[in-house]
Amino acid sequence: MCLEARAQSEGTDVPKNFGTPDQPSTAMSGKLQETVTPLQIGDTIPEYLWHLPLQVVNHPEGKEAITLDDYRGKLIILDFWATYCNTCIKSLPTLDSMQHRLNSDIEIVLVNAEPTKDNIDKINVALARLHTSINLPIVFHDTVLYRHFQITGVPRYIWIDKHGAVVHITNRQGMNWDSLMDGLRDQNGGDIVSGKVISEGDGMPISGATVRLKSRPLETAVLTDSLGAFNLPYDNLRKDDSLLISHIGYGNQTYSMNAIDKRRLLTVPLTPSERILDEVVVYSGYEAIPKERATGSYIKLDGDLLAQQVYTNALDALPILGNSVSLAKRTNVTAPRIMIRGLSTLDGPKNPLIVLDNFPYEGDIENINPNDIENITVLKDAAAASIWGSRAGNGVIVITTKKAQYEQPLSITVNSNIKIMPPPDLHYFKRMSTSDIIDVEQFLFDEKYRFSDTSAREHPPFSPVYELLFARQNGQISEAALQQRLNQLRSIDVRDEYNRLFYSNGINQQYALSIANGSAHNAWQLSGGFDKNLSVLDAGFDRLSLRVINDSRLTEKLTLSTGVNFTWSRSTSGKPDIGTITQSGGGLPPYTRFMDDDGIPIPFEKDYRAAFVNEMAELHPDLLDWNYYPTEDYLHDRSTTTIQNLIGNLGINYRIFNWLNVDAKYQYQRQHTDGNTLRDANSYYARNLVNSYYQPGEESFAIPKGGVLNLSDDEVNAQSVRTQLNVDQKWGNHAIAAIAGAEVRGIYTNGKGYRQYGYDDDILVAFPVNYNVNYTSLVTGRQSLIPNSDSFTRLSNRYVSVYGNGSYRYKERYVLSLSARRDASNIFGVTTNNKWTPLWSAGLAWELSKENFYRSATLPYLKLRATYGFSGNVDPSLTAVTTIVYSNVSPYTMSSFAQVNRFYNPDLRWEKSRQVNLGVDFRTASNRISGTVEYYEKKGIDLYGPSPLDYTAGIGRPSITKNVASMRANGMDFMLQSVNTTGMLKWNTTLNASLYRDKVTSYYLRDRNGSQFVGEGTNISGIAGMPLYAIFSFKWAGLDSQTGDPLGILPDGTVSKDYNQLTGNGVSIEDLVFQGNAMPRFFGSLGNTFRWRNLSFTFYLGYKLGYYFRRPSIRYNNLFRTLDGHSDYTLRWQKPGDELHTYVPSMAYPTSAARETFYYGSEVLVGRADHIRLQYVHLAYQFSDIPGVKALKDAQLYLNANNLGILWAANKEGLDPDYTSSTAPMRTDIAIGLRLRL
Amino acid sequence: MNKLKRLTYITVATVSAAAMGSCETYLDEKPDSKLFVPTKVEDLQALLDNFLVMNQNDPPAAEMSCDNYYLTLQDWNNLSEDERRLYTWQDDYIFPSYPNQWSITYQVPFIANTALHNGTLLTEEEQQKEEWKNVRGQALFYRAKTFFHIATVWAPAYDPASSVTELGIPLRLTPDFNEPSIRANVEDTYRQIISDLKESVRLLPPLAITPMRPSKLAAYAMLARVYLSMRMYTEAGLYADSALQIDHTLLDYNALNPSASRPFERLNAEVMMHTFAGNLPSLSNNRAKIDSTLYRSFVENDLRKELFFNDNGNGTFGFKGTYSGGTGGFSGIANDEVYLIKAECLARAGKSEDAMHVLNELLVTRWKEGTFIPYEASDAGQALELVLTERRKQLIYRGLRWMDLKRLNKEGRNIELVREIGGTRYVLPPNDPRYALAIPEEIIRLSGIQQNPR
Repeated sequence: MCLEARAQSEGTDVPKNFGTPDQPSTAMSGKLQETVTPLQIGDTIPEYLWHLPLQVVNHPEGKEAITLDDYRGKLIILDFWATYCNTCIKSLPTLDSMQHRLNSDIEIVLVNAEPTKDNIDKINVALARLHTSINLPIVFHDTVLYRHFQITGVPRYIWIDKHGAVVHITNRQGMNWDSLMDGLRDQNGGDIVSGKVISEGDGMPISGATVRLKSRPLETAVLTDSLGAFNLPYDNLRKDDSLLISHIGYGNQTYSMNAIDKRRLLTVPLTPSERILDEVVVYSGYEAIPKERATGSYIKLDGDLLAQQVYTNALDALPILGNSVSLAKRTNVTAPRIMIRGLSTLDGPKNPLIVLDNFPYEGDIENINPNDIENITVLKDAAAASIWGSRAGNGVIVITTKKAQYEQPLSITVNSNIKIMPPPDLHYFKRMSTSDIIDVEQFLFDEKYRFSDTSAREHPPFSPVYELLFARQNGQISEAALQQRLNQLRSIDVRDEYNRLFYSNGINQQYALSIANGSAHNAWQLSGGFDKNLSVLDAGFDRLSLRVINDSRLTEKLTLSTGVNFTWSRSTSGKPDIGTITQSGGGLPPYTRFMDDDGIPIPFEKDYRAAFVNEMAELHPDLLDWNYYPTEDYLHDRSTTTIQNLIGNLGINYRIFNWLNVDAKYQYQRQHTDGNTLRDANSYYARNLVNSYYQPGEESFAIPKGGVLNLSDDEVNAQSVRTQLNVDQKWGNHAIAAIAGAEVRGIYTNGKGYRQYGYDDDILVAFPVNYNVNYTSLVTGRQSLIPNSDSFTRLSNRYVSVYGNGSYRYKERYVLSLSARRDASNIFGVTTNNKWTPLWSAGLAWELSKENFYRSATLPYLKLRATYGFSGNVDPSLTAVTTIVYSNVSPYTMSSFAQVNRFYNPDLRWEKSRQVNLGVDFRTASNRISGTVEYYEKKGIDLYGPSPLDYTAGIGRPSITKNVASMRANGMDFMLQSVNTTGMLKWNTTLNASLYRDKVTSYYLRDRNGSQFVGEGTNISGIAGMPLYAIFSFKWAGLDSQTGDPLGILPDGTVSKDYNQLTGNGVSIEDLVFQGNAMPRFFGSLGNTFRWRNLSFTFYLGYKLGYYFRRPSIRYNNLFRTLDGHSDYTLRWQKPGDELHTYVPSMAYPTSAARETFYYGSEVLVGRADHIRLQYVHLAYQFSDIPGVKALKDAQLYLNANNLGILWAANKEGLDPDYTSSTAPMRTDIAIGLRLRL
Repeated sequence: MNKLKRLTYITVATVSAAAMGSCETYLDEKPDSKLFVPTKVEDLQALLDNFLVMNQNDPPAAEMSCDNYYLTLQDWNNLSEDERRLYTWQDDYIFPSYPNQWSITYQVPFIANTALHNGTLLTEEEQQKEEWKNVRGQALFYRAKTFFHIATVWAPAYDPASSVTELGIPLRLTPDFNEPSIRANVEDTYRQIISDLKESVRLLPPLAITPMRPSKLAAYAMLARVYLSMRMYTEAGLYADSALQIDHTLLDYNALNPSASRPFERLNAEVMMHTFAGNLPSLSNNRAKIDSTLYRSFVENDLRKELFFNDNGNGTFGFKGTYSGGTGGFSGIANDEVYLIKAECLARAGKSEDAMHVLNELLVTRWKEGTFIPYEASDAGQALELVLTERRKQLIYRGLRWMDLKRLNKEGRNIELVREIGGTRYVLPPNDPRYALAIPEEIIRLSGIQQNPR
């Protein structure tokens, strides 16, 4: 034994009282001999030692005492050490990692014997010197164990097997992986092979890889943990057996068991780098295409990346991550629209086609549980998308859900998170102060503004300030009292009232569970999710989703796949939003209070003056309370929408030959939407309606007292059948992969809506009303019918399509692809359906780096691609014949009357989008930088456009949709991924950058009135040669120095104040200033991920550059009407000279609509919208192991913050250009979650 | 290989079946079951029964331009700019861009034309039905009546001396919106109106099941109104008489409640054809003040003084509304108007006694019971004056004053309209070109039709 010498050579401190290994303390030896029989190798420890309580520190679970019995069954290794022993301390990290790796099989217990004189403090100091945590229990003040094992020096390792036998006593050298493996082999009565699986490219551990012996069934396989480690025990090894390591997306690795040195820890590098990316597969919804075969433009986002953000809607993560995917927020405030490579249409439907697994998804996107998503493929160019034919013009988003693999061991994953969303910042809006508004109201009062409304039959309400001024005018209050009241009001800001009474933090909770398992013949997955969201206004959204999918290999050649997906969701209304409580014909006075200091609700004069309401109450005691209480009313006015969605899938695949198989797929989808809006008897809505229809003559209520219940019931049924032949054959240098098929699809919508009056939710009773009698309104005396909202709809859209898609590959480096599809439908015009005009595409790809002459070491992979093709876009709401639609029953003729609904338009056809795409894919050596650069050009042909109509024709609309326009767009997409550092700290960067430019090339537009193009850039301008979304303005010539009126320039060049001329028909587009694009010319995102040990940190920046927006400013006509003005009011021209430093016009009374239109459309209010924002940060901690929970394979704790705000903006006003003047930007939300894998 | 053949066959069969034969019928399904291609007389009747368009789209611009009311400066300030300009008889920009009175009013001829056009596509059997004649008559009536209202507002008064040279209105006679609009001359405009009405007289039943639908009675009365406006008094009188032959019911105003906020019911016994013009803010009861001279011309026992007007409590009076039953001005046909046409034509024909008889028959129902002293006229001239005075009083807010101003000024009555707003005086001299209002500028640009001369 050379332990002692070695220990000394390593500088082991000489124990003071313990004796050196060479010179055992005689005193101690004597004592030992007195009390215990020393245990030798081969001895079994006495039973009492198993149960001896041992005082410990540093226990991973915080225990203060253990017994060896706690670990019975494992290989127990007692490490006798001391704090003065450097060798001992240096070895601790290794021991810790051994313990970690082999946690289920061994237990290392550190023991400080009493003679070492170590105490807890010394131990802690010693551990602290290590700068790493040691998760091993430490027995201290041991007085028993060291005697049993005759410890005379440290370190010393005593190995005790599951039977209690001392199998080994070693020094430091004997404590290594090899001996441990041996020990385990002995322990288990079999063998074990241990190792670590890493990615060859960057050395990152690969978790979830399957490791098994080739001859053994899948059930015996083990999966690697989050650090890539595995331990595979086995026995009775067959001589020729080999170890098989596999993981999706990586190449398999096999090692002959004979060749493996089982005494060493095996390091398994997976996937020779050249092959890994080649095996990436993209999904078109019809087939899975290996990227090597693809000529088109695809982006694939996998689940891990998508899971970095916490969201309810499956597509929410897409815009920031997807290359060239953007969100048109400003043009669609309520439902921002996803755009792929900008626009392809002017007036047609602008949403991309969503495909869920194999079929177009017709339901609500919120039905899809984001936790079920395996990946999302975005089909960007015509070659990728044209397989979807007439619906692919705006690009296609293919969502692929998770599926179990054959031969996959049982895996259970759990994900749960909670997200907190703060209420919007209402003070973001730059509003006039309450005091300024009160001053304006006093001015208006002096002008006798709205005085005539005091005798209007509608009895419209006035603002509280106006009521006070009326009271003063009528002598009801004194001047002093008036001023005192006004001063009180001046300090109120209704936004504070909103914050206090309505807004609170929103909370979203998400729970998801998924179980997957696969044998050689069957693979199944079961998943469930539950979401519970509560908005900042207490509006609720609950969703429950359940999915079962199963794939079976029925025979060698026949596979059957079945799937059922059920979603139930319920949305409930919440508290009133800012902007929803307004006075009839006006706005919300800024000094409004909803609740007084004692918590008593204050009624709000919504529709009538209080005086009228009080007079009516006195006159007709039967009337219900006619006041509106905003703080309570929402409790009595509730809407609930329940959606149940069921999707059933059935698929059969029969392999005729290895190179030919046939697919038949059927999908049934049924979405049932139930709407329920109950304004109960106490709601203002119901009370107001009941009172308005009170018939004083008969002292009766034409509308019965009680609630008003609106019910709706809509059902979408969609059925699709598809048959498809798939060919995949290689011979020599040639390879062909092709599909051809046909598809029939029907979507049927049935809906009805109806209303019940006098409804009582407790006893479930409603009362009929007479819809056919004119009643006199109590308010206006006007005759009117009782509102009837009964309606029925039935829609059926049918499509028949045939398609084919194929690629031919030569020498694995030249690829030619072709795709064609023809659609017919019951909605296209006759001419279109009768013509055989398939939408087609073709593409070429050349993997240059495979050529023999190619020898670049910097770019070992280089591929060039080019595609050309067409896809279509169709608006199902257009028809080609004149149709009428029957409405309600006329009370005069007692028969239904009809309206003309659609107009004869025989040439109506789908829009076509032609696209050219050129792409380069490249990778540098060892994948340090990889990326794609693409150039594309799109041309939209036969685009729908509202063709302005001489409305003398009388069709009741100013324009009609025709295929009148065309457009052109081009752009470049860059996607770069780089591995910046690979050491302890791993740093990866992803850059998405897109250049985009579009213009209208022709538009059959007779309307030449320039002012129609002036606006916020949120409408398509449709001027040939100009961008689709452009900002045009009136020319500005400053303010009149005498009056503060804005000045413009007439077409003939003269400065003028004639606003009708400046904004009227004489103005053509040439007389306007084109200020720029309203859509970003340059946009994208930059993501950085840092990994250090178990910790990862990601942040994404989003940027939009090269575009313009119109700033909000004061609009006096709005101010007077709604008492809501912009704070630019304070900057307005007030006296001569002001025009030198302000552009805000003076306040004019009476207002002129044309003057307002001119100022609001003038060039002074346009600014650059460029900005960079911090989109989200994601922090995750991967637990290597949770001590004591053996079953847990993986655990991740994550923290996500979203919408972190603008980092830089070109505008200096603090405006967020993504939002219009009426919406406050979202504030940072924070989510925390836990993901577990069992 | 057999298996392969079989499978390939099945696939090919499915593909081709879907692509060809069966899909023709599969794709014949209507995309929206609510949509009907109008193929039956009932469908066309249903189109004309759309009272939301057919019975309430008359243009209020005529009433807004005339002298039955005035506005205070404050109320005028409150109006939109185009209404302020309309009130003061400006040359241009008196209507907003779409939607405006032009677009709303022209919807009626479009529906009428759709019914007429689709009628020609009906099967032989459908066209034989009695209902089709009725529908065709209704459609012609609606088209003619609306053209007449449009001509009253946007075309000069009919003058046989210049009717061929002056611009009338675009006569849209088909539902094809691709057809360009062209302004017919005044002569053709009125000829079209009259020929449509005359044909409808032959097709319509004497009375309709509801005054919401046109009838022969309404068509006679409408012809009387049109001829009156053209100053063809013999024809006007004859058609008024024909109408009264069918129905001459008058309301007894004594039976009405003057304290009610709306004493008149919609579709009352006197109403033969109900239509009305939407109300714009300047005409609303709380703004428009009744011309004080006009108000004072109603004598003490005249029931109309309280039935028509409300006291604003500050020395001004508002108009309560009459036969429309709502705030919109009634523009339909009621027997009172027909009585007045007949009386006027009799007076103009020199039959002053007959004229007074007809007038008194009407007026006795308007006076407090037992207080009416029948009018007597010494000569035809006096009879005409009496009838015209009563016409102005009875037919207030019916959109007829504008037509009367136009035709009476043609006869040299020299009625000058004056408005005062904030110290500015606006005058509309007799026979001013502005009696034909400016067509919305947007329409001029979109259609290229000529603007009215200024």
